[in-house]
Amino acid sequence: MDPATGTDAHGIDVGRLRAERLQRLRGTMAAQGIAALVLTHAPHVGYATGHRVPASDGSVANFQRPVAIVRADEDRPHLVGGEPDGLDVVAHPGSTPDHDEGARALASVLEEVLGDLSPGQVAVDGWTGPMLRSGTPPLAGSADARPVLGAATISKTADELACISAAQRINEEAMLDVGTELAPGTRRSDLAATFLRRTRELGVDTSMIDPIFQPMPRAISDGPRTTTGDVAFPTGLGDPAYREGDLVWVDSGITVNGYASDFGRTWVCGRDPSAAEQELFDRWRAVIDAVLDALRPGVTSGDLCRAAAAANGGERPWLPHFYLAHGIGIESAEMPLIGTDLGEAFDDAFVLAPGMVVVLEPVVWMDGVGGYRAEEVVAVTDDGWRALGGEHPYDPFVVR
Amino acid sequence: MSTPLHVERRDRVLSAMAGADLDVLVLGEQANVVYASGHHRLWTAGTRPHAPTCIVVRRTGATHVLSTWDEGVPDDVPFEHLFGITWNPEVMGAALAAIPGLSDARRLGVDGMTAGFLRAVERLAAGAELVVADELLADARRTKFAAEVDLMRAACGVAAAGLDAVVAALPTPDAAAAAVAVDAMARAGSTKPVGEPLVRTADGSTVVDLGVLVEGYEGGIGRTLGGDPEGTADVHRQALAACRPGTVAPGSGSGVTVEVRGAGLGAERPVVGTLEAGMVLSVTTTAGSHRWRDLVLVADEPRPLLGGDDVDGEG
Repeated sequence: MDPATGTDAHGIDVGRLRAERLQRLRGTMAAQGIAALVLTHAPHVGYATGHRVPASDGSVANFQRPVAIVRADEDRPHLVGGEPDGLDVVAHPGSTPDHDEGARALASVLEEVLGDLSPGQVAVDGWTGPMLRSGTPPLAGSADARPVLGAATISKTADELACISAAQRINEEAMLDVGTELAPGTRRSDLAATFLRRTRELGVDTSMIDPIFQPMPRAISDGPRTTTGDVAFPTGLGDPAYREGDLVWVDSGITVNGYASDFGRTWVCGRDPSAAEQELFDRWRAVIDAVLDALRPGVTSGDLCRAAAAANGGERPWLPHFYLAHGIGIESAEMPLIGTDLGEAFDDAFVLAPGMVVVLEPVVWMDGVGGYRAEEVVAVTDDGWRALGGEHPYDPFVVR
Repeated sequence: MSTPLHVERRDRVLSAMAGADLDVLVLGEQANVVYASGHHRLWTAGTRPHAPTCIVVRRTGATHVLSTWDEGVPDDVPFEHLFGITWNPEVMGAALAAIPGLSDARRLGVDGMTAGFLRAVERLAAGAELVVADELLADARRTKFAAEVDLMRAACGVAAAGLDAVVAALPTPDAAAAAVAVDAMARAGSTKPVGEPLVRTADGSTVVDLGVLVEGYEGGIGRTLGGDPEGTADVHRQALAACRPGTVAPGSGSGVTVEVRGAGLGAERPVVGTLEAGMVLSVTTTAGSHRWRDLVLVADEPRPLLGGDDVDGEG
């Protein structure tokens, strides 16, 4: 922290970030008629309190998680357990709600802090087994906290956007080094090793997904078999050695102050793209350009889906189990979700607004040739959009 | 041919379900999902909101798993038992409703809940009594099959490779040493951390504590490099040697803290009660700024998974 400016190593004013976020959360609670939140999912706890979310396995994250309690009528959130030092919270001793002892401690804090409220006024994002056993908060009758978090987080503050942008740029910088290592005979573990080392050297120790460098099949019939009949990605399995000509789909995500990046590119192992492969990229670029041309406040998700399909000869250029685009923030994929199996009516009803983040991840596939996939992270502005990354190159493909 | 590990585990889950009179288990915790189904999917960090990820039906003995593809799913789980990633609660509801044995379940076990999933259960299995089953899974997972111990031993070897790389890199700033460790562990076989890699230099010694997953199973090692004036390594060695069946977990002594928890598909719960043969424990011995950690198999002659007696400072 720089005491002169109050900003952290990434230039983020963390105090303002937290204060504005909490204000949004409490405003959303009031708008939805929710008097209090009980939050157990670590990104939610981090959003409400600033509590750090480390990049641990779920088994450890569960046993280290504190619980946040937010009342709409109180200025400061409560933190049960965890590490409250440096946070503007009412700290309660406690331990994880993944132990019976921790769940009992939580129950007594809840009685003290929320005892005047009825269950329907309290929204909860999830119960652990021990919380279900303790019966507090009650499962029956409690409200669902996810609509509150969803509405509060969907449009980002300037500081939140700065966190995402910082994460994206560091992620991209690390990938510059990784990209030079792809060659026949190298393995996925070699590339992942370099990525994980480089992000740490650049000051980030939170790789939130096992970095993906997946050699892709050329035809869907090459498998794996999928429930959608389309391409399987990302499987995150095995340690393949690359062969010359492999199309490698790359995907990774790190966080800065709990905000995620999302890096996606397609690399070619050991040679330049063939003419047919370059055509995949050209079409992918055309899809991106068409969607970005349409992207501005007031446009619907449906409009963006139609623009993408029109640029791809009428076919939807994305994986059917995912989306044309997703939001990003405290989760690596969050609202807005654009082009999912929620359906066209959902997409047509969803209106983009300033401050929303859109990660475009179209896929252009030609069976027998293969596919091109990459991701573009942009924020909706008052009159259009702006990129949150650093314009990372598409090598070895040529932008024409 | 020996029984595949995922079948051994599934049989143990089915047997536990019979013992608890559970008709169906709906699991969301990643480690429980791997245990019951053998399905491995992309590793992601942190807590996950509860969602139905693996359904075990006692009557049919079948496991049904959330996966859009068949890679990473054991061969004996039919393709028809996969339900794909969806963003649509109605699609998820329809997929679950199609699972034989779910709608007429009398007793349905869960390892976590959300308000949204409660609504789904009330619709899909209207008559079912909800049973909190996280302890049933924890009990099933507590003692390890030989194949599980083998995977944990492999994971310990990966962590040890990370430690060796740190030893070779010192002296260097702590953050740089941690970067060296994750690089070395990735090349040695795992890019999936258990917790954050710890490298902390203070008072002339460097504490290193590393943990990684191999096929979901935890391995780890903690060492203090650069001297052990208090002889804490001896206390640690004694703590490991005390992990015998029928005894209580080794406790703390004067000036020395010994922490013991279960280890398996990642971190497991602190150990309560007496030890059983076949448990694997993560034993951490701390004195001041010094720290040692090993995974040890509980047996009449307790066996540190890294083997040998090499808990001295210089690894």
